[in-house]
Amino acid sequence: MRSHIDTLVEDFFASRLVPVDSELAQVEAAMYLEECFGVRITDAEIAPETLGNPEAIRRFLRAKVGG
Amino acid sequence: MCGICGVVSTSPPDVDLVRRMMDRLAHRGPDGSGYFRDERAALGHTRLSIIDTEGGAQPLSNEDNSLWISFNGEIFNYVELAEELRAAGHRFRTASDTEVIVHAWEQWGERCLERFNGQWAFAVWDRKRRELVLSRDRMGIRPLYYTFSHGRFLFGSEVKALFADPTVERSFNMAGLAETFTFWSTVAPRTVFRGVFQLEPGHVALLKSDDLSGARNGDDLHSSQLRSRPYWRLSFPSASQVDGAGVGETGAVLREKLVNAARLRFIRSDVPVGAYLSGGIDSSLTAAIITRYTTTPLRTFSLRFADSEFDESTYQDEMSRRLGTEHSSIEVSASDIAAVFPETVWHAEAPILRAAPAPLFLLSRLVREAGFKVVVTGEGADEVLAGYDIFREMKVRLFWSRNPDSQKRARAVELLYPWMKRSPVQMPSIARAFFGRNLSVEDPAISHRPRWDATAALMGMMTPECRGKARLPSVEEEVLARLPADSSDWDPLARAQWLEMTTLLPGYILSSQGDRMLMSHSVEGRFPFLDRDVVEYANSLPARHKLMGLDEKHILKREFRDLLPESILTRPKQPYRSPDAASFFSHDPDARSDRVARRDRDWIAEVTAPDVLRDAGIFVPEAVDALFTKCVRVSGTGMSNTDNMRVLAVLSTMLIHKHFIQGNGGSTSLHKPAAPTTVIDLMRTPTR
Repeated sequence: MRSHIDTLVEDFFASRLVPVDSELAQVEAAMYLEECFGVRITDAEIAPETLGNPEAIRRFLRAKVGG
Repeated sequence: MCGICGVVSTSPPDVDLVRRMMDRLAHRGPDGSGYFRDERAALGHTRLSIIDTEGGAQPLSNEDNSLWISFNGEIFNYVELAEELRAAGHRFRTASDTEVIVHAWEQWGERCLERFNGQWAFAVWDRKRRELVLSRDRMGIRPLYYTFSHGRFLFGSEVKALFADPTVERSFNMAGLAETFTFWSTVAPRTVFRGVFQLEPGHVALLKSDDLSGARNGDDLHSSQLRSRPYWRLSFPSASQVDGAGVGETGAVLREKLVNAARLRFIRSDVPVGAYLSGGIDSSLTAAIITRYTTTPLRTFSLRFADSEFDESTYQDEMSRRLGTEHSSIEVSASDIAAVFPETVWHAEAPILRAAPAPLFLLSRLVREAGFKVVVTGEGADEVLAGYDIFREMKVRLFWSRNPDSQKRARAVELLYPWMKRSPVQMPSIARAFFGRNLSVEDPAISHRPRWDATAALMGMMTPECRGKARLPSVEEEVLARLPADSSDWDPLARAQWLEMTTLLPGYILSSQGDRMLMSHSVEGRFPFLDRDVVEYANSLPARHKLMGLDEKHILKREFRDLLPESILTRPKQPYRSPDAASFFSHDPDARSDRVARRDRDWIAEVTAPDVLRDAGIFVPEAVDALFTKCVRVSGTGMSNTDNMRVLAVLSTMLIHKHFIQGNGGSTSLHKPAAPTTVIDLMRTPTR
């Protein structure tokens, strides 16, 4: 069974507006994750290694909220 | 769809007054008219016959003639309710939904309103109790106004019916203008006319004729004699209570409810039903759904614009081809808008800050000329499923407000409108100045504050005296004070939706752009997205199902992929717009001739002449002159959003002044009222 994190990350990548590899995409991802998971993301975390692709986001979220 | 009106007093109402009121509503009901009168009340009705076209004349009554009704609208579940009422012993004389209301009121009292699935404004006169009941549908689709004058209570579908009584005061309510120049419309019960009110959506009001003795005018009545209360409230669950269902699961439920809502609105009619096709997702979807319930090609209608910036005909044609509809469209030029604008405003009965209602006036004429009385449209989807840009802007502002000093967060503004020509995000510094003002995560109006502030700039053109009256009380704070007590627990998107569905939806979208433009040519609109079940279910959804990231109406697009072409599903959202200031000042290459174009605009000089402006006392003549000089210089093009709104505000307000303050609300329109066909006058001496 897929986790809550997997579901929400997949939903997001199905609906996002800008190319995944752009800097703006990380801003868009940060906005979405704060809304869905109630986390606070710092400017330093708005970066390719944390928010640059689905796997990075999953890793980041598991570290941040568990699950 | 129809026109309703009436008078309640402590003595037999004047029949001539009721007939004059009915005449003012002739455009709403050209298929027949009638009135009822007894010792204390008179009900008038002008009929657009849609259900039980032969037998549904109004006013009509229950079995013992103790309850009489005048009804505007549709109860879409009337077939099921009639079965239930017959089983309870009620005898029906007609096959109309109108009769269901009187029997339902008799059977269940006020609780009957909870059972109605529809769009309505009605008046029921209870002869035994000498009591008038007024009710309006949940979302404010059908209008209902009232006032009080010289011991009489008057109500009507439109304000112009009330002004058929020469004793009713005709002047502007400055707080109503302030609301219009902030929210784009007044907020019920207020109107732009002093002493004239509208029943709030989702409300029922009771008035005993005995209570009228001793009452005075206008405001006195509103809080005392008329007891108005909600039978339904727009509400959302606490953010923590929204369940964690996946969007696939909730999408399937939404689909079932929306399909049922559209089906009911298509099949519950005894005349053919057509559809608007704007080229966007919402009307494409409702048309696609109802096409499944007809064996003949669906009749569809749309607007085209000579100006390609506003034109969506490529998408309209594609959808029409895909559905195999019999499609008609009308091309609207800037000069067409200028030509019909005075009549548009007469129908709207309120200042309008966009010219967009005028093309819709022309569209309903096209529908009527094609022989259709009913259209299904996509109105309400943007409010119910979070389609408007204002919701996306809110998300960006909320994100930014959590750390206003962050440069990275500020970049989120660039996610808004990257595709739009002349988009503010093409100039990030300007965009940030606009969206970054008053950032406060605590502000319950964080979604709407930039728009409200920008619109309120219009009040800078008002005379100091008007401005002083208009600013007291603060209309923003009044609206925010009406947010439900538990709204602080809602998702911010829910609060933004509540504000939108309380201000712009009933006051502008469903009125100036909706009912009034449709009924100007006797056409009824039906709105599946505003079905009670759809609205209540959508309100219960997790916010992200509606606005996933910045993807608006996400659940709708995801669930109905099979019914919509990829081009429409993925096209950037384009709000319905038409040329604004350019409609009145451009050199239109498509104008029939310069002479005709000038004649179509003659009224502009008339209503903005310095002495006329001074007499009206609303706007500073020099400020209007400066604005219009600028418009002439640039032919109304390339102007800022605020200047476009200023032009529309001045023109429409001054037309309202001309029609309804200086004039008495009467019309020069071509609708010729016929003699009433249904007359039940209990006060008339029988002739031998």
